[in-house]
Amino acid sequence: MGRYVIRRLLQMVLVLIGTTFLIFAMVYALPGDPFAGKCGDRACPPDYVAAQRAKFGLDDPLLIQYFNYVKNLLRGNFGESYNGITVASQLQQAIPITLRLTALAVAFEIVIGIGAGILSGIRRNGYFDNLALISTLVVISIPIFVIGYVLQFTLGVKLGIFPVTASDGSWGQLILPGLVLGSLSLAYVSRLTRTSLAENLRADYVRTAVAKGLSRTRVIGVHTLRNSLIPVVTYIGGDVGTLLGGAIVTEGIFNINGIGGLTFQAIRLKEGSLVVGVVTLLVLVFLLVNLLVDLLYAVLDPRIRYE
Amino acid sequence: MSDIDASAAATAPTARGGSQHHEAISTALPGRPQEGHGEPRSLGKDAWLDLRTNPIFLISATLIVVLLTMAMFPGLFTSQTPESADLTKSRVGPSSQAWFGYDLQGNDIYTLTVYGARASIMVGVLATTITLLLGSLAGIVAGYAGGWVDSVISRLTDVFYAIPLLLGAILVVFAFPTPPETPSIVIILRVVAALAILGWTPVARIMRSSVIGVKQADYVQAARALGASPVRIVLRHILPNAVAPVIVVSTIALGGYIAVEATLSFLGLGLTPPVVSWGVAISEASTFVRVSPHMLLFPSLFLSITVLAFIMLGDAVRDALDPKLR
Repeated sequence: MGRYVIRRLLQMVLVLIGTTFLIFAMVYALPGDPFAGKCGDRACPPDYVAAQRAKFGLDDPLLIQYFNYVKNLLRGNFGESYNGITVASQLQQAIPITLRLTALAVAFEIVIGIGAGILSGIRRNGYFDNLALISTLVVISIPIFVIGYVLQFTLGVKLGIFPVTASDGSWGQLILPGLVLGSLSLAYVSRLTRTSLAENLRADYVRTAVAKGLSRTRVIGVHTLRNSLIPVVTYIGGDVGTLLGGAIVTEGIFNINGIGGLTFQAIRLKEGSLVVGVVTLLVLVFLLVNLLVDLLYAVLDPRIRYE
Repeated sequence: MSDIDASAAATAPTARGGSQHHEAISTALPGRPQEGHGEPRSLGKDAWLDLRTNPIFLISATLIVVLLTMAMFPGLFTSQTPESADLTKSRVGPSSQAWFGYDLQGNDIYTLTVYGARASIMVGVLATTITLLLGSLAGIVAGYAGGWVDSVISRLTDVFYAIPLLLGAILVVFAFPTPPETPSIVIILRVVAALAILGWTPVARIMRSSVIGVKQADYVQAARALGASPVRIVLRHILPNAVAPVIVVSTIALGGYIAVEATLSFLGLGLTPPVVSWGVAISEASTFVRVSPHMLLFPSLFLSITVLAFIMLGDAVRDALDPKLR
């Protein structure tokens, strides 16, 4: 187990280097001058531009720029954006809000998604199963921003149940955006749970559990569900990355000051260090969650062992 | 097996118990059903027989044929063109003359929706084709070669997989700015490139694992013993037996790409006017959702139906290809 974790962590370092380099190269390739339009109506004085370019090392070749960036990053220095604010302070403001939003989305996935999946899995082709199948299909097929606008309009503006915007990003304000962000995955999670549960209900060990005279709740809730959750957990782990990246849309609709808007601005202004900083953190969270998921396999299925 | 069915039968309808009983017999005697039907059937033929009677497949296939026709010959569905606009009709709601109403510029929304099918479906089909080719190639090479080639490709897949699709797509789109005079096809290809550069990883992963699963099979060993070249082994023996899961995932992903295109357009980065697409229409309408919901309703309805059709098609094909679910 210990050796497995160490091997995975080493692989993670490789992936992190690869991702940051890829993003760095992409930002490097972005056209446009970051100092265009920086000085109001007039063009910036050439001396200022030259000084800034030298300060940020913009005229160095890609590899040297990347090397310098990683060197600073290893010292815990995320760099600063062209307007002189450190990237770390911008991330500190934005990241907790987006993490909160994503956590809420994952919570909705787990509670509603798995709950609905269990209910429809144990009564296949029943009334609830059909209802869940149709509603998940509907949710899957509607673009997330349409869902966002419609829910914001009906639940927020018309009925006034939820706040319409979430500008300070407290938990209460983020409930509705979290639901919107998680809606698509919620539907997938419930379908996955349903299929997996229904398949496992036919397994030998379930028959044994029933034959032992265990109660139905225990057979389904403990024996079957534990094994059925493996594909679901895998899906949720992989989904964390999509949610973090997809938060950009939800944040736009509900006016949330998370990393979505920050990244969008940063890409537009060619703020290399900010974009790479955000992506590095996102990828790090994503990789750690997936390592956790792989370790969870062993908890869920005792047959799986990591040597 | 039938004992478990009995325990599950408390919840399952009785008709289901019958079909499972039949399945239990056919798995116990694998040779029988084929003899009974005269000639042996391949997996593909079997799947096709199953699909032909599956209502979900028939509905989704019909929808897709209609949508493809709409994409190829929009003139068959409407006599107007998406360029004709009448500003006096700006945001007029649905009526008997114009069932879908008019948009901000006074364009007939029905016409726009019909003409929008082409760009949206084109993005989906092209992105799926490219990810399918790229991902399959990477997956086959990694799975078949093994060793350090596998390690390199797998880590490379991890790198691309770890970047969120939407963020990466935004970067790619910004990397290729399109001046106002750019032809529509270039704008469409830009979005396709953005989706394909990051979208190939799931296909590669699935392909790799199914190739590894098939590689050790006896018939592959036999082909190798007979002196078949690696290319022949891969194309004739491994690929046909490993391709099914990839096809299923790609069909479902096609719908997803159409939705992502709409999301990119919503962010102002996907397709842009003069291209007419559902995504463009939806993103324009989302500003007016509180005053003219009809502008949002109809393009999103068509988008949803398309996405739904491809997802249902993928589901049906998976059920047909997976003998366990019969």
